[in-house]
Amino acid sequence: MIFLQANNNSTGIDTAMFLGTLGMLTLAIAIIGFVIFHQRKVIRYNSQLKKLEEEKQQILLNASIRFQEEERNRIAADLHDDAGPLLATARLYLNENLVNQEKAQQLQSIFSAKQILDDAILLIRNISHSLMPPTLKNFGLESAATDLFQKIGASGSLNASARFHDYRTRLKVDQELLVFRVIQELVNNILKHSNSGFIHLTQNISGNKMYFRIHHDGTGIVQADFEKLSHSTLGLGLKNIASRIKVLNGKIFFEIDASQTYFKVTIEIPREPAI
Amino acid sequence: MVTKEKRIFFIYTILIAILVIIGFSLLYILKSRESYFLIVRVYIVIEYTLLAYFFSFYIKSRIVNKILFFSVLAYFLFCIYSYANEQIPAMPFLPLSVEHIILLCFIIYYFFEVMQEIVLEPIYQKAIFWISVAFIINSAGNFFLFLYSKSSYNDSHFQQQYTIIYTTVTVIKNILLCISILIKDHIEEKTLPHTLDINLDSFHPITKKS
Repeated sequence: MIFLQANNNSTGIDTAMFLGTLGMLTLAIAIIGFVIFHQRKVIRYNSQLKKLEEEKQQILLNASIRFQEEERNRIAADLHDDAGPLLATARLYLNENLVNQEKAQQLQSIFSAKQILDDAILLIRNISHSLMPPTLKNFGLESAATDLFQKIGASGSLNASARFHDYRTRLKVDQELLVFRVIQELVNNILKHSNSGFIHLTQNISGNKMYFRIHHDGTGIVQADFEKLSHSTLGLGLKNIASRIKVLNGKIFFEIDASQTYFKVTIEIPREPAI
Repeated sequence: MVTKEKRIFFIYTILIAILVIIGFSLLYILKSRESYFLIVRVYIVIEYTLLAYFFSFYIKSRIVNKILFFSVLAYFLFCIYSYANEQIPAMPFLPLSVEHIILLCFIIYYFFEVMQEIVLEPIYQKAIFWISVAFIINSAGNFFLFLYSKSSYNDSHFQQQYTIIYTTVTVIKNILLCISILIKDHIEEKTLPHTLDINLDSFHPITKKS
């Protein structure tokens, strides 16, 4: 009887130990399996994100190439349609018959040709300025942006102003040009689509970052719209902005103010002071 | 590339091998069971210390790392207390069970941290995963065994089962550790945060007129 009890007790312990060990091992294997399964899910999600990012890059690259081509076409059209006829007209005035004409007529022809050549010079200067604003090159981003906003304000159609809070140290020339182009594109979009009553540019610095913010009270877009348009085949200007911001290693945020009365576009770029 | 973690793991394997050789020499050549049990006690303290140090490189939480550090001290004191309170020299089954349950907790926490990370490559491509799997299986498989051994080790039927389970678990652990040696760790790619925390409201240009 005692032996039987001892034997039963021993079997009970064996079973408990066996079940306990089995349970613990099952638990351990379940934990390992769960970790692996979860990781696989995370990796799959990350690779999808990476793929989307690559697609976005491709769209931006295509947009940037298309924009460059459009810009070239525009310059070619300006030169061909405006400068070409002007110079051809001037050539007509200065043909070989000029020597056979009367002095008064000669003077008249030379005067007209001179006027046409002046117009051609002005036109070429305008084209050149649209490619690289001289104010930006000579006096920096602050002057160029202020100048741009003053010109818009002077038109009288809307109230435009710019204020630079801290621009004692200029950015690198390349950075200034890219920021100016982004501001120009944003302003163009606002003028074209927003129907706003005011437009205001602010600049400030915080740490090693520089911030630019454009406010306007017209129709605007928010970040979700910007992301959507950047991914679509539409919105070449926005894609161009996105690619320029990428070159700047910066960020751009499109928001609506909490009061829902005006839109804000904020650009954040790393500060790289010109040497 | 030989990292500090790998060096610690190498030291761990060498020390364990030396202690096992010493232990078996005492048991089978010098026939001194008391000295063998003492060596086992030294073995488990060293094993736990080195494993805790090894996992401290992989656990990122500072608080948990501090707990890991203090657990080594606490475990050392517990082993001394267990040794001092023992009337007849025997295998330190209780310290062994405690070691395994603490290790289990820390490995599970390590896996929890792994699940929080954003990764680009599967965890099973890293040596630490196989080492963790080896020890989690070893600890889970031996925990109940050591717990029951304290009271039933003298039973011959139990000893038979003990040998089967312990040997199986140890063989699996060693196979997994061998796999971990074969794994070549890749350098992790750092991911950038997607969100940006800025507050530009301090320079709002327009004060709205009411």
